[in-house]
Amino acid sequence: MFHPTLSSQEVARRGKELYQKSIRAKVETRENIGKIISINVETGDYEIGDDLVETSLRLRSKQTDAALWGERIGFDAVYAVGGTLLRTAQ
Amino acid sequence: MIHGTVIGLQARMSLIILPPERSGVEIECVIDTGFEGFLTLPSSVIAALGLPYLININANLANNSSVETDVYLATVVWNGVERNIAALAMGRRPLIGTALLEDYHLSIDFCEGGTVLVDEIL
Repeated sequence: MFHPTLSSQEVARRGKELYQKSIRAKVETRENIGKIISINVETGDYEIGDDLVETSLRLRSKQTDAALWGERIGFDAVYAVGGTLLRTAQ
Repeated sequence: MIHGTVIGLQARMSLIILPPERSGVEIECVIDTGFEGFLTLPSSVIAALGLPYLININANLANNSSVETDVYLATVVWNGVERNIAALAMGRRPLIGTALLEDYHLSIDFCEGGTVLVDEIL
């Protein structure tokens, strides 16, 4: 079974930075708000869709051992577990 | 139709998880209507089942903190059909969220031993 070489914290740090600096401005469009984006934090490649499993497996089909970070476009988290997702898009 | 039971004011329901290359394992879960994802499982259960790692995400908790969470791929049997869903590695109690309940009807008799029913929307 595949295990990422980067730590979870490092994947998250790189993923957030990549999203904010180079991906967000391109993908944060009205039709994408609320959709899921999975990002390969090593290559910057990404996939957008409605389902986290689908977008992640699409990336993994290109690179089996990809270190992936996920975001919900325009929100501060992918899922609320008792909390509330905060809209971050303008 | 899927049946469950109310125990100690929690609506509980068994979910069959199909680990890679092994037969199905039944896991008792609590239905959490404040959770918008599919499933949470304790890290120890994910390790024991050998579920494949998928991705890292932020999840927002009830105290409004955001936590970085490892997500694994779980194949479950839901209403007789196999589905690939995202299982968040967190907590000590498996939770079923509303993404798994989407397009289904949920009814709960909130008394000890009360009936929990998940069925298709008529």
